[in-house]
Amino acid sequence: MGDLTSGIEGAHQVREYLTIYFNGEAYRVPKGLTIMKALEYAGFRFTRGAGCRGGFCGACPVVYRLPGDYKIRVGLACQTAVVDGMYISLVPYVPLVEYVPKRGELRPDPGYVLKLYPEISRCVSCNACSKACPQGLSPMDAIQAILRGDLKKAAELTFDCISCGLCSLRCPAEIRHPPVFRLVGRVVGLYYTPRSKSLEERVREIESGKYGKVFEKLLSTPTSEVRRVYEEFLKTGRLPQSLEVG
Amino acid sequence: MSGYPPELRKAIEVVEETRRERLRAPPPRRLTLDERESIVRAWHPDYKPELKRALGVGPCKGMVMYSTIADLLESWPLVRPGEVDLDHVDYDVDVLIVGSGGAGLAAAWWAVEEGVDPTGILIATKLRLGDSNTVKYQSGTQAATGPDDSPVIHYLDTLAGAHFTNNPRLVRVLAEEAPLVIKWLEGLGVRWSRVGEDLERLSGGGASRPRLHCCGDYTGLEVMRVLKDEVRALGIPVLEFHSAIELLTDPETGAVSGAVLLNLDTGEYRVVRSKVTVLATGGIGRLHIAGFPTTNHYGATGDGLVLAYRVGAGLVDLDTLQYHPTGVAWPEAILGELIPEKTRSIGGQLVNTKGQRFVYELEPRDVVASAIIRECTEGRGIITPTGTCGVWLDTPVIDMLKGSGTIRRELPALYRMFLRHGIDITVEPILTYPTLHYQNGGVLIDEWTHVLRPSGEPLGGLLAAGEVTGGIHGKNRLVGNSTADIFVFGRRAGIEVSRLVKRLPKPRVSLKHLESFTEELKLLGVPESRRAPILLPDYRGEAVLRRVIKL
Amino acid sequence: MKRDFSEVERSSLALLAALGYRVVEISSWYCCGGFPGATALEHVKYVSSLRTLSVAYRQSRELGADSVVTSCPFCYNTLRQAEQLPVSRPGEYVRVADYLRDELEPYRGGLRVLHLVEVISARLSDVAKLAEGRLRGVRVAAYYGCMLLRPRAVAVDNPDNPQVIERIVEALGAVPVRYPYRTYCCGSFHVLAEPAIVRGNTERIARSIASSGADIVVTPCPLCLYNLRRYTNLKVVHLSELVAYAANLREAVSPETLKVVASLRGET
Repeated sequence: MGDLTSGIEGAHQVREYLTIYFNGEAYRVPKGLTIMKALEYAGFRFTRGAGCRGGFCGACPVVYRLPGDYKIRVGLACQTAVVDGMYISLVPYVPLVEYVPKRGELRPDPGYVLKLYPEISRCVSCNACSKACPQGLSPMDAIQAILRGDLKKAAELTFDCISCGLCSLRCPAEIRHPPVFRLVGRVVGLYYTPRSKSLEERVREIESGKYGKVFEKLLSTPTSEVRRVYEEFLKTGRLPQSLEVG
Repeated sequence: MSGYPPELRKAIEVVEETRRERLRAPPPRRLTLDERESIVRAWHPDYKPELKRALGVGPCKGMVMYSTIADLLESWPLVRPGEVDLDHVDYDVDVLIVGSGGAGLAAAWWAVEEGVDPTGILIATKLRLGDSNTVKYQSGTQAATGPDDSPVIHYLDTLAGAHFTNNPRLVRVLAEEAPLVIKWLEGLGVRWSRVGEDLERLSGGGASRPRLHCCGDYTGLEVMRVLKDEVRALGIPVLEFHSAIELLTDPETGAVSGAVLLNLDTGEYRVVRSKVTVLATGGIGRLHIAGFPTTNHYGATGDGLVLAYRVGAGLVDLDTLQYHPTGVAWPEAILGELIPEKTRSIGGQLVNTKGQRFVYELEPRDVVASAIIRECTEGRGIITPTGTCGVWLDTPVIDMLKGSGTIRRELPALYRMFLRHGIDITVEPILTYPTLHYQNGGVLIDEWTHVLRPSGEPLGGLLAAGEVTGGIHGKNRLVGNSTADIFVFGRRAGIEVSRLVKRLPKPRVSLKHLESFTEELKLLGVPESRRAPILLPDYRGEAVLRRVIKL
Repeated sequence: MKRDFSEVERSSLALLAALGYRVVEISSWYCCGGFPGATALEHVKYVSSLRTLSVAYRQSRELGADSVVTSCPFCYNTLRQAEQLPVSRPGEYVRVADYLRDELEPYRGGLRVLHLVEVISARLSDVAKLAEGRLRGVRVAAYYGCMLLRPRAVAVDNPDNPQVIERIVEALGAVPVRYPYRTYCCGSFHVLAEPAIVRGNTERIARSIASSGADIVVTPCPLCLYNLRRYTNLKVVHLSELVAYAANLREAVSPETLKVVASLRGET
């Protein structure tokens, strides 16, 4: 039950098991689970280090090694399937002392980003950050874009960033990537993104009460009549004249 | 090398063989309103009487609802009067906001915008600030912003999608104010997807005009990033990892006057006294009702329902739940996770074991979900090695229809999710089955988010916004209306907070409301071991749970 | 150069185009880090440049190109040293290449790394034709700076007595003026943390040029350009801008430089 397959009645469930190591301790868990589900199966109940469980919120970064291999691997606990012999360490929190500016303080100027996070200029292009990104992004390219003054490119490259912080942990220059990328994203959203004119027009109409009369009319119409109007609308694509907005 | 085992690779062949034909043929016919109702009545879990029962306690005693929810509401409080020292108030505030998803943050933001002092607000959130269902949402927000569209059409679509079971007054607010919140978020710097200079608007099930607004494939993440930054920059105090476990009430008027919070790390409780409390606690997916997996986040355990019900709130439409038609059916690692509606909007096709399409993919969600359940139950679904059943969602047709690279561009999150398990959705179809997604009903509110008793009278001191509330979506919610709901009504809650805070006096706190409630529980014979709110689901394995000793 | 000295890039590209070269920007390039001498850590010294060369190499095969050109002496110096690494320091090369192999196929040789000054000096007669004597009579002092000449392994000319820029000046129809401090360091990146060094050095250079009777100073290095402009009264322009001006590619020259050069020629 719960987060594992409950299966439909009568179906045969095949289960194989494998061993994972968490904090150095060995656990037998079913094959095919994510690290998060496997650890829960083993008896752990998370308060920290679990969030959306779908790969969007960055709450569950994990660092692990595979047997016989020195390489450090990374992922999200809710997205990474267990592998036999995995050595796991969870990283529920990365210290990223950040300054969150008020919207009015934000400036469309790369110099502004550098002022708040001067360590960006220490980037030595080692690419340790990109190797640590569970989303497969290239934080280094984004930092380099900021250094080149191309904030739009940096915002584009980091749109899918979930702020897990693994890149920042691995960076020898100790750059705090997640708040830098969020800052750039906000600046671009505020200063480099066009405003929709049709949206503005619609909002003006609504605020002027343009739709008020029709809604009042609809609210005093019996449901059966509203239903009929809608069926007609689905067929013809038009509303009756009495319900047309002036 | 595919992530699929050989038996599933074999089953995929019929999908590949019928693809050309399905591309040429017209889509399945759209159903009439009557036909929609029939298929839902025949196959939707909402119509399975064995899953329901009548609630045995409280102001809505006798109301028929899902048994799991009835069990939740018929539970003993976590707090026993006398156990908590209410004379020592830890936080004395103007407004307590419980929950920090889209509705909670919108309420906080708008309260400050309308003049409430940020330091007079307290946001208590179960996990981290922003951890919610909102952060995961991908399908976009419905709003009638386009020149060929109108809030009136949005209103009608929403009523029809719910089979006319929703509250027209609330729906009017939703439809009329949705464009306002899109503009509000645009002004904060949210990067809505665009076509040229104008907003991109996508089609969705049950919506007769394209009006879904997305931010790429990470709409929820983008909106929440901006809102979290705004809330932090405004200096609004936040208590993370603090769950509200019981509301407090004025001993004379019964109005809500605050809450008892539980620190999930240390187990300590905190007493909060507030003039107004806003419930923005979200959904209920982690209760896995009817044995379904869920798309919801870790903390979706229906706490707000429990809290509100105990102080006398009315409830509505808890005999209905939304099962998102396309949850992941395989692999097990990501079981139940969302395959967004956009996959179908841009051309993905639902295919059974015979290689046939069996429903128009953009019918309202309850219709599509019912159709998939029908296919699986009648033997036209695929049984996976882990015992789940599913139908195919043919994704490679999308690139064939709209050009190579469409999936990578429009659905990067989905692509990424499956690639992590060895499946390339541009080349192979995916298995899908409905998954528990959304609480259609909930706590009764009025147009200004006041929580009401079943009589329609406001409780006093309690507002609610977002998934925890009922009446907006009736018995079936349309895609994109949930996020329109949280921002529209979150905003209204915030504005209302600013009005209330000015005129409400400092209240008194008590747990008096528990007296009558626990009496009823005793009379009903509910065992004291059954407690609520649940706070977090327990996924520990069977083998472990059998041998656990509670210290 | 993308941000504060975009006129250097613009004029360099215009000039190369006028000389008939097809120039394509490397698809993914990374800050070279300054120059290898700045740090002892071998990975930090060479990883970025070697990565840039690796990307450039892959791209060059598709384009049928064989050279990488840059307008910045620091980048030239770093890239050239990286280019030589497989042969000059095979031990270090193996370790850095191994590190890069996770990301892409590491550069192993096959590209020429050039500074703009080398490209121009290989086409002097064409440059002269383009210039049509536009700068006739103007007295130009060449200031070389350090990075094109040191260490010897990457020097574009004789480090003790370079002539390459003077020859370019002649091809433009102008008069090269020589002075003792042509290759004396301006102080370079010390302008950030120890500006007194730059003040002192540039003062010496300026005095030396002043007594030589030059009308204008030309330099191939944006950092030298910055330091000389900031701390002296000299009229200094970047080599690429001067040559572009002479070749009548005025749209590619910054308004400031146009003003300076025009005033020399008595134009308004």
